[in-house]
Amino acid sequence: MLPIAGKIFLLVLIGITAYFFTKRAQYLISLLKLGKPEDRSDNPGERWRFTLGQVLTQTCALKNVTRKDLSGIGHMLLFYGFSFFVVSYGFHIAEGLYEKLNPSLLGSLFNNGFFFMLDLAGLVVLVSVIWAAIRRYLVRPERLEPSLEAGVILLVVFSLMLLNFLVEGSRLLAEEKPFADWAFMGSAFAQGIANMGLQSHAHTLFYCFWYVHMMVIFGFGIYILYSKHLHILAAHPNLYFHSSRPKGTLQPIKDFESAESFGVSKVTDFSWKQLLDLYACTECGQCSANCPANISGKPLKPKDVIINLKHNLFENGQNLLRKKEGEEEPLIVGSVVTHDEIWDCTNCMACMEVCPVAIEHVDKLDDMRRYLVLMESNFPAEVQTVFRNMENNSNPWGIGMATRADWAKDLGIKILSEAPGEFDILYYVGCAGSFDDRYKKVARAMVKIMQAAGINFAILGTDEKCCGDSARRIGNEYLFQTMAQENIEIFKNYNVKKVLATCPHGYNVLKKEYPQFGAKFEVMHHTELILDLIKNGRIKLKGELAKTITLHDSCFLGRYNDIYEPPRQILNSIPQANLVEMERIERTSFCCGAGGGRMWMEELRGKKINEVRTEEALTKNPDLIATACPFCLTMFEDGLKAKNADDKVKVLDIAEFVANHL
Amino acid sequence: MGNNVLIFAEQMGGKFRSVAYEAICQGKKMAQGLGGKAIAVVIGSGVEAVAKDLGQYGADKVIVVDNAKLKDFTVDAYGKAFSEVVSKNDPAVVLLAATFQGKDLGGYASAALGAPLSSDCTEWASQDGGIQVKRPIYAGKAYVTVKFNSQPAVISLRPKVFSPDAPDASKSAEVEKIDLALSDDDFRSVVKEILAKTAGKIDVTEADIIVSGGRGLKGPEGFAVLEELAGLLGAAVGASRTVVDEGWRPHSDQIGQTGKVVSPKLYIACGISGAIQHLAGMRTSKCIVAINKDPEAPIFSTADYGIVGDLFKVVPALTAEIKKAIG
Repeated sequence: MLPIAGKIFLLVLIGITAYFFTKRAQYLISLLKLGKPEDRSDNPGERWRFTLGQVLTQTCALKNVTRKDLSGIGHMLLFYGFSFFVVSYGFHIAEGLYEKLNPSLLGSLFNNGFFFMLDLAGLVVLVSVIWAAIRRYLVRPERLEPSLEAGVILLVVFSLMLLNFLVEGSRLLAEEKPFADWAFMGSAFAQGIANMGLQSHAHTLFYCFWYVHMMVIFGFGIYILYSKHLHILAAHPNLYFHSSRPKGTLQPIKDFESAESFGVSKVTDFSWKQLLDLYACTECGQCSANCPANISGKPLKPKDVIINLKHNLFENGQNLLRKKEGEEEPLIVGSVVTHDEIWDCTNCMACMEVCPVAIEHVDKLDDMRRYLVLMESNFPAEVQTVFRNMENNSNPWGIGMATRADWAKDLGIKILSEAPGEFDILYYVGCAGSFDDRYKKVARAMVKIMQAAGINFAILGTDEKCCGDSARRIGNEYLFQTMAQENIEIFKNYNVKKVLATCPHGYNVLKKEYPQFGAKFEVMHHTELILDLIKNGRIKLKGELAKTITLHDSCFLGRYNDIYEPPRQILNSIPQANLVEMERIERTSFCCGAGGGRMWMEELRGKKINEVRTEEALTKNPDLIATACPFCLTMFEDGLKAKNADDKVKVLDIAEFVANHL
Repeated sequence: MGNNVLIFAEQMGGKFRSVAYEAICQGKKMAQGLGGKAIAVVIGSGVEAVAKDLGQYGADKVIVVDNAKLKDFTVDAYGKAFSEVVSKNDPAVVLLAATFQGKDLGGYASAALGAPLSSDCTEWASQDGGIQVKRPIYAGKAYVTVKFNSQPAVISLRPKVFSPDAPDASKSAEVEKIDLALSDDDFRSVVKEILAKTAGKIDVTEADIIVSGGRGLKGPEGFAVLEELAGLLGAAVGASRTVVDEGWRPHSDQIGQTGKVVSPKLYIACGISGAIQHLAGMRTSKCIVAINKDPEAPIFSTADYGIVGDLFKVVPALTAEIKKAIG
């Protein structure tokens, strides 16, 4: 097919591409090696299953498809279509080097089918590219930026499809025997070329198109590594090396005694996987579009954090590689990622939930908090009080620890610190249930439910300590670990096997983070227990509640622990209750604003997150707002006051709903 | 070995702070136990005239270092002056208040003289011809008793723990003026400007009485009734977080978990429901009075006295009664 000069040209093209590709790839890998070691090699079977599952079924993109945002479908079409093209490029190159290596080698049926599919795929890709261009340049959703880079990519993909059809068309005209019968787009283009009266030049046209096509293909191959479309190559390893820790847990600092620095202040403090995250980013902006800090007008935009880190890595990469031992490395904390961005995060995990390529935004921000807290003691002033209160009285408000069990007086509860005894379930009350007058009502409601169900439970009394979630999320890992170890010892002493928590923060940390320090007990949330009790007929809900209720999903219960159904089923078991859902629920639920230790900080930037969420709830005209978290409860009560709706709308915990209907 | 007690009498702008009187009264008592004299030390600019008044509080003698350069407190210059006075007088005890100045100076003098230091003391006693003190450790969870093995013992007293005796106008003290050569090297830091927190306003963290308002005030203008009561009582006006969020009051007035933590003698909460985030900032107040129209408001479970009623009726009535009482 090709003259010898053409074959040499093709070989040179392959050589040049391989050279640049290898050089860039080596550079990218050497930058990754600047990161700290981290073992992500466990359980390869699960990793392959996860990666292939996300990519082949396009779950990565399709999971974010909503009625308002169909772009995931566009990505799927592009992905399948273009993947088919990548295979076809293999055939093109092989055929160029040795003409017998073409699809007809596998039989004429395969050959015809192949070109039919290829033309179909080309058509699909063309449509998706036009769709993508419209979304970027005509009706642009806020999360996308109309960058030059995106434009170049769309133009290149568009021209690749066009060139493919032109190659097919001119080839059909140039060759006596058609290379395939079902290449319908090729035939259409052949017709078009013939109509223009260019049939006699078909041969020349074919070679011209063929060479141009090849050059664009190889050029694109190199360009990928230099552009945001690096994700085409980096997303797969990033998915493969996804965190295998239980969802919503932070990595413990293991070497407190020997380490000389804690947390992340420089690029090289990140692990290699945290750096690979930067390559994998597709800049789709789903993270920012779902981030409560961004939506409420704060500086934090998770996408920008990732992109700024990536640009910084590329800008400083050469210097970092050349850096000698002992030379100073520039800080990223306070410059590339600002303090405001770091402290704005509510750890709600919406960004990570929607990220198609398993980027770990929250871990990065919390690692930078660790640096600020543990190395520089640089944190919002009001947090100092919280740390001190946790250290002195083991609760964030600093109320005397001796009064921790006062709420339970006269309730007929087994209090282990007063009289150890046998029990089936330990009710870990938590700080809010113990000290906050409002949330004490929830603790009492839970007691009423368990007593009605005849559960043999106990509380630790004054031996109960703060769970430490806020300390960990604010970045005070040292304080957190001290508290976790103390609690685990206490639990061991009382031979605790099963724990009930009403606070999702306590629930998450006890269930999923304490095992990092040797905890071995089962933990359940009160919504799980209550649903069980209802299902088993151990409690029956009586009376009617002819009210409109809207349910707010707590981040630490929902996204962190996938508990979406129990609170809904419980509310629906109350006769007449009318549950109306908000727009943002379940996995894309909108944070109340208090997670990640934000409960204890002033919200100085942007709108108040709790007011944004309260406004959303109020659009449903509810009589009641249901929550299952003390932080959410407080944030909604404050939000309703700010909106002057606290006379009309009340906030109740799921346990209170149930206790009112026993 | 001396047996006198040397007391740093803290002043600001030529006026003694109440901690100065507290220290002198205790210093006098210590000196009586040791069989020595209470010597007050005043450092500043233009302070000679007021120095002799310290005799009314029990000082036997007042040493004055008066120098225009010493107008504002800087630890280098004040430290040098104070240490020189201490070493010349060879006292048994050096007494200061555990304020920002006192803590700074105490540490400086202790280091300069190689003397033992015990700060933030809450009790003291004469023991075996010397002084023993008690001071809190572990954030107030425990107390240690400290005995001194050498002289002078540098002791700072926690403010407001000891109350000063009423001044005795019949007494006065001998004033000794000391001239001290100060070079520019003694002023490694210079006070350029003192930014007073809103002039004339009492800071909530320093006030003995706080009148605090919440959302029940209905708007920034509602605070007028609280201002009037506060003015009468010499109280500071505080605010809850919602009020600050609404922009009715400045952030510096915010009391609560994320604002100021206060512990006044009297806290009057008006129209504040008393969510835990607010209680965390004021629940250690000695006496809490709550005025709220909602009898269910959680503030009533923390308050020593509660008034269920409309604060716009209750507070003016209270103000009127107090006006009558104080004439």
